[in-house]
Amino acid sequence: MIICVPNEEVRGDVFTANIYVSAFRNYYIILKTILEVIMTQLVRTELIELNLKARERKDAIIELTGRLEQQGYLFSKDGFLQDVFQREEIGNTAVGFGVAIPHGKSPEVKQTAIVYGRSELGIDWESVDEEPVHSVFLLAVPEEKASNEHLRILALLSRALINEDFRQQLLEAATSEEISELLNEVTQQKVIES
Amino acid sequence: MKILGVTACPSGVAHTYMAAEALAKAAKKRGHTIKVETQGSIGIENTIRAEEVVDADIIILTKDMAIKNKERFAGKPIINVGVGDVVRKADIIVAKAEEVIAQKVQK
Repeated sequence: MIICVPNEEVRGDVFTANIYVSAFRNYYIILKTILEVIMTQLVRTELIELNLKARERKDAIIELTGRLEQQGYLFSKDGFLQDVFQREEIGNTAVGFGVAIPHGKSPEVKQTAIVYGRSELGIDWESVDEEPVHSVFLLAVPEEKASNEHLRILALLSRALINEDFRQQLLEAATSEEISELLNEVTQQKVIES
Repeated sequence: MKILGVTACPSGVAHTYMAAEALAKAAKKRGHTIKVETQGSIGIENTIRAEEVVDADIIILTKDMAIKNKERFAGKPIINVGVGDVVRKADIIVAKAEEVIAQKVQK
């Protein structure tokens, strides 16, 4: 049996290597944290449509889903649409104030996202109050995610929508960047105990 | 005035929270203290404690869905309102709560 006893020189190298490994590990942790922060930006500017062409509920959902597909968030566009329409059947997602929040928890979704669409002329959402919808939030959530995540986002968004300033800011924002910033701020905050 | 509220809606995803926010905002605007419990699809949040019920002047409940643990408010003045009305007309509902309290005091 041969036992190798490293000489001084080699031991020094091992020591240096350890420093490198630990530095690399720290670097990796920092990078991972930055990436996580970026990933939690649910509303990216590419997912914002300032001028929806659709004038009807179904068309608006299809138009916004196109954005999701184009940005690579979906496994299957048709499958996702089916799930969103199914939810719409259970109950109309127009919530008043000219806002609708269609949403789908679907195995066809790769990653949670919110798509925002704005319509100046208004969309017929076939809601009881017949109020035209000017702001649409389409929420896409993967099936395997605990259902709580998308419900929490919806809850935060719903609370924010009560704020008239917030609604106005959304309608008046000139760029997608402004809207993305507004929405990320709202969906990341903690609920303040009232 | 100390107001307590509980909100719930059939799907439990949007109106429950919009109503809670609207009610809290309207009450604070009129100088009242308020706590609103939400009974939504996430579960019960911001739960009202027994001692808070003792201190409360009035309870506002939404009536679209059966409110859980309603019996804890027994003996307190209660206003039942539609969740949609709370979202749209929270100011009027808080004003009504003030009225109910004022009448009770007169008696």
